[in-house]
Amino acid sequence: MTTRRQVLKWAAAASAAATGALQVRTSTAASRESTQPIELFVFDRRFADARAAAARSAANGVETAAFEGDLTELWYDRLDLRWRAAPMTLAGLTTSSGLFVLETLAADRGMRVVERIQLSAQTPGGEPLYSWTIAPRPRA
Amino acid sequence: MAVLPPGVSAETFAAAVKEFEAAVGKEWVFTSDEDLAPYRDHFSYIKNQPNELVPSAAVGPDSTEQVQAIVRAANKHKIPLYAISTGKNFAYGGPSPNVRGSVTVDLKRMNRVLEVNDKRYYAVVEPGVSYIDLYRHIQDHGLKVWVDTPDPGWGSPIGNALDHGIGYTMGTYRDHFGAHYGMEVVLPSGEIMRTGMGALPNSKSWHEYKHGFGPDPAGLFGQGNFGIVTKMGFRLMPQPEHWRTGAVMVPKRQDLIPLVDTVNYLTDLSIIGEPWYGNGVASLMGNTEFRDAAMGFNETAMDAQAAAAKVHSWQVELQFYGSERTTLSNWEYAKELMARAIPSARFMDGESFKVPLTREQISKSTTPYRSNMRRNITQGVPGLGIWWMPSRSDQNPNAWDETHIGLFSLIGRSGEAIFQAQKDFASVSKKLGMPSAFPNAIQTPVNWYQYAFIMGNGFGLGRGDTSPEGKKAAAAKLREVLAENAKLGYGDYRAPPMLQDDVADQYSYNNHVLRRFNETLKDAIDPNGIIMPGRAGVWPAAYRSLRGSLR
Repeated sequence: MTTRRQVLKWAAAASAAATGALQVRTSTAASRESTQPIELFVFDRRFADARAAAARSAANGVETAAFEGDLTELWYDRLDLRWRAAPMTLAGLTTSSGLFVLETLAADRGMRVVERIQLSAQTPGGEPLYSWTIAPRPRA
Repeated sequence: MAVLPPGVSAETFAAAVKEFEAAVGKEWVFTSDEDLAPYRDHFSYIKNQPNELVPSAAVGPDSTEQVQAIVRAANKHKIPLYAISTGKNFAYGGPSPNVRGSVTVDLKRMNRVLEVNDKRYYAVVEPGVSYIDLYRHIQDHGLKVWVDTPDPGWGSPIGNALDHGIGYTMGTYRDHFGAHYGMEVVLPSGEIMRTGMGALPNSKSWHEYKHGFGPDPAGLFGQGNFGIVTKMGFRLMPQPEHWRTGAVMVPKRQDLIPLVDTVNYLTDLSIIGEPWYGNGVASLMGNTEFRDAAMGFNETAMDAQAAAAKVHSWQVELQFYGSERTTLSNWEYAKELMARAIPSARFMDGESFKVPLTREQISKSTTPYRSNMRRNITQGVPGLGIWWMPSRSDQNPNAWDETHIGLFSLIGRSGEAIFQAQKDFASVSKKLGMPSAFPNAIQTPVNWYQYAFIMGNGFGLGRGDTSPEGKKAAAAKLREVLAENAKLGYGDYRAPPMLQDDVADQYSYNNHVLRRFNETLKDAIDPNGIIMPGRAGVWPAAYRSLRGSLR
């Protein structure tokens, strides 16, 4: 079973290899005790670090989903349909704006970000990349 | 971050929460910081400050009856409510309320598409339906209609219309509140009211004649706080058979005047969809001589340098919906009119596609000229791609999560009005010491509404300083811009909650009679002032002391 921690480790390793150590880490209590399996790894294929992390995820049997800056088609064709059926646990490596779109849409489907790590890696435009995990929100 | 509504004790709040839970179920009432995070304005100038506009709780009804129960409980305990449809109006405050400690009524679970009629061309939806949801419904059912979408399209048709949002197809549909036909509202009393023909039980034409009989209060619910809208009808555009574009380029700065006049004529005859204006001289702004001319409104020098560089001053891209033959005829007619008005105008054919366009046709422009058009929104296809907009750039150096990015003022629909606005906004910018290349003599409006243009101004604020003090200073500067613009006759059409009092202050004709009128109605209809107090600067008596408290 591939867990959130493993995926984050791959993402961190990919980034560290490219640019150095992690900078900022934010996690919730839920994430620290979580071992839920990662069902999908979402990545912005414009960035080498994201591609590398996705390759590691795929090699370890995790389904991957790519987009290039614009999440419209990935959202419309795959994520929206799956999230309508049931919340899921997914990880990814994107820019902050990509993550903002995903976490906003995820919040509508009963999910939330349980961990986000700002990586040292940056886009060519200077935006930081983030490794993150989104998981179902516990119901009351 | 335990926050309570103003003047409400913890005991009273707890009692209200229990009643909300009884109304919608415990799992749909949220009070923890983690659960309330999505209801904050992530772009707020006052994020994490003691006066940040955060809710005390959020409640998610699934039906109009549950909304009624929430409103009645709020009235009983005098709890201010703030209703959101999907809460994605991020340029204008997102889901955050006007009053810190309000209870957010999140209508996302009310997400049913109630009707789409592709013979009579209308839809009826609940507030939690997004443009993407409605588009998917239309596609899944093979219906031959378009929904005019804003950009991005993850918001709600009801929410967008109620905030006077705008779209990008034909003029009739681009004014989203104007294209609404009939709504259902839960009033502050908890009663349900229907507007227009909906007031007639068993009406056969609720979504086809919006005025009904007698005074029509529908306008009170746009940017208003007189009730919670739970259903709304919208006109839909018939899916055309063909889409064609073409560009008109004109050489001199003054050519903008006959260019806009001619486009207005075509617009008002419903011959063209939204025109996309641009300029050909932006590439010259890297040239100090041209830049100085543009910043100094030296028209003779600008024209001379544009001619020397063989670039046109202005461009407008026109779009035609219809059949292949009618779109071609209309394009030929547009060229004929333009040539009459501006003999030196040049023309270039753009795209000519059978509708619906393929995804590749939508995403990959093959126009032979530089096109500014975001094609999906001209085809009624909602997207998320514009989310690049808040990303870090020269004009927004503080990154996507730090600032609202500008003010958008209404200007007249003419070339003369554009020129005047350029000069006026530049003079305000100079007067207030704003270090920005905008506004200048090449700026175009950012949106071309059916009967007015919308011009950006006030960019470049907060540059480099994202400290709380820096943001406060930037907000103060925005308020100065608003006040200066108003002196010159310009008002904004939307604003985030923290600026709504300031914008409303500018609409002050005859000693603020409009605001006094609205607040007289507000006090009569909502005596406890529980429905979105302060929205658009309309404060009920119970909260009126909060007017301007964010300054």
